[in-house]
Amino acid sequence: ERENVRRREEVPGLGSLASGAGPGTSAEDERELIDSIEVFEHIRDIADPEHPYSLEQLGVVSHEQIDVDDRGGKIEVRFTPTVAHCSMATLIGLCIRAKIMRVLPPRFKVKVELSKGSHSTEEAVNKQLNDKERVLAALENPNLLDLVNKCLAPTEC
Amino acid sequence: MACASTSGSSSSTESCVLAVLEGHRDRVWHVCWANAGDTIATCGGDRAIKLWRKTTQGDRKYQCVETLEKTHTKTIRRCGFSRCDSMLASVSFDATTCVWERPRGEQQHELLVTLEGHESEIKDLCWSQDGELLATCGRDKSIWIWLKEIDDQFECLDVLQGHTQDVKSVLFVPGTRALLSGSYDNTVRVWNEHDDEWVCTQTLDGAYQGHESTVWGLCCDAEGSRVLSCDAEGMILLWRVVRGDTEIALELVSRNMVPTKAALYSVDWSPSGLIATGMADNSISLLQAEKAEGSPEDPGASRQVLKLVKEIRGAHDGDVNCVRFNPKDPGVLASAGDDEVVKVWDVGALIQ
Repeated sequence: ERENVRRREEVPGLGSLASGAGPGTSAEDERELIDSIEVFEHIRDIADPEHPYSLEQLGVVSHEQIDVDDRGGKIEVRFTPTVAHCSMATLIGLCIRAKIMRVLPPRFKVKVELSKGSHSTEEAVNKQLNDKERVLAALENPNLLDLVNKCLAPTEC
Repeated sequence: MACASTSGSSSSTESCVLAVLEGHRDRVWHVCWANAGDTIATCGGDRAIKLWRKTTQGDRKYQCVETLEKTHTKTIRRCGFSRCDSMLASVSFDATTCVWERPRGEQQHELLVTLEGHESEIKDLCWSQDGELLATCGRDKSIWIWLKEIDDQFECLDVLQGHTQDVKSVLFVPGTRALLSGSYDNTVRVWNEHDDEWVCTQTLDGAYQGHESTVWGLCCDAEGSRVLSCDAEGMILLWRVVRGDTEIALELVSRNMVPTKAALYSVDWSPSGLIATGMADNSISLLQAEKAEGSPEDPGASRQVLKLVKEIRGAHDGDVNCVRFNPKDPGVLASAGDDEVVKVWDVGALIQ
């Protein structure tokens, strides 16, 4: 059902915010806004790089830790690694970012961060995850891309 | 201090767009002008460089005349023409630098040489004003200085180590062999040259009232007397270039914050003095360096601050990765976006 919503948004001229249709027009009313539940649906099944469980099962992601401002074009995802020195924190963040980039419209500005106090090198990981040049370069690195694709495999649509 | 807003967002910016250059199949990371002002080179995530030239028919319209591809194997992050436009260098996440040459009388560029040495992604390049030197920098925290030899080969003169993280940008100060660099380690560094060796003479960090986030871009005014550096938290620092007998140094003039605090990916200074920024909130801002209001401590008001002249919201449908003024015609600005297009703007119409 969610995917139907997505497809509808991608049809040019139908419910597109970019078409200049102002608030209150029928096109605007018709489109169901993307919310935190929907973003959660996309990232909950990402596999943990080290465990045979999903990020949802491990409590790494939850819909309460996602903020979406559809009209403002902003998505903020916070995640909580299972241990504070988790060496996979950057990879997990990269997977979340890659998934959002692949399934949600590019108009969204996405911020992916560790939840406050959840990691020993929180600031460094956050900086890396929100530097688009670093993220895009990482996704062109065949080894890293392979790891990311493995984590995303079960949920890939 | 914040830039004072003198105008709101514009609803009629479309009429200020001279041309929309479409053809790239991924985000466009960089745009640069030939020094002659007649050609634009662009590059990006599709691993291609495109050259666009003004067509004779119509006014200020551009046509893609050449595509250089199938050479770099990853994103081409930046490209730049040498001083006399005979060569074009490109740097890539594939860790190589390519130098392309257009033989005299020929229309197409040919690959002259591929420079290897960097360990990982290369992020910026800069030709020296005399066309002799090419600097490259990147993820491996180093800056390489290449000398172009008579036989069109390039020799590495020096590898500059000092930054503790990726080097995002390099800039030769016009009229000197001194180099500036900006980094993910939040510093701007000044490198002075003696006998083909570059020594870091200044590390400008937070303790020096410098940047407190990644330094994305650097630019110089036409005279080479002032420098701007921009960062990931919306700060633009204005520096004065102090020239000694053998060395240059930077002196902080003012710290300026763009109102939205969006990441500033690019900054450029036009020959006529106007400043443009490309930002992560899809906007372009035009700014001007002006004398600060005279304060009791500074009655001469020698201090300059940046004032907002015009904000162009929604300049692209995505991050604005690069802005560059035409070096021959300061009334024309080119911008590159995540929306896969390059736009050419009529600056005069924008600020009217």
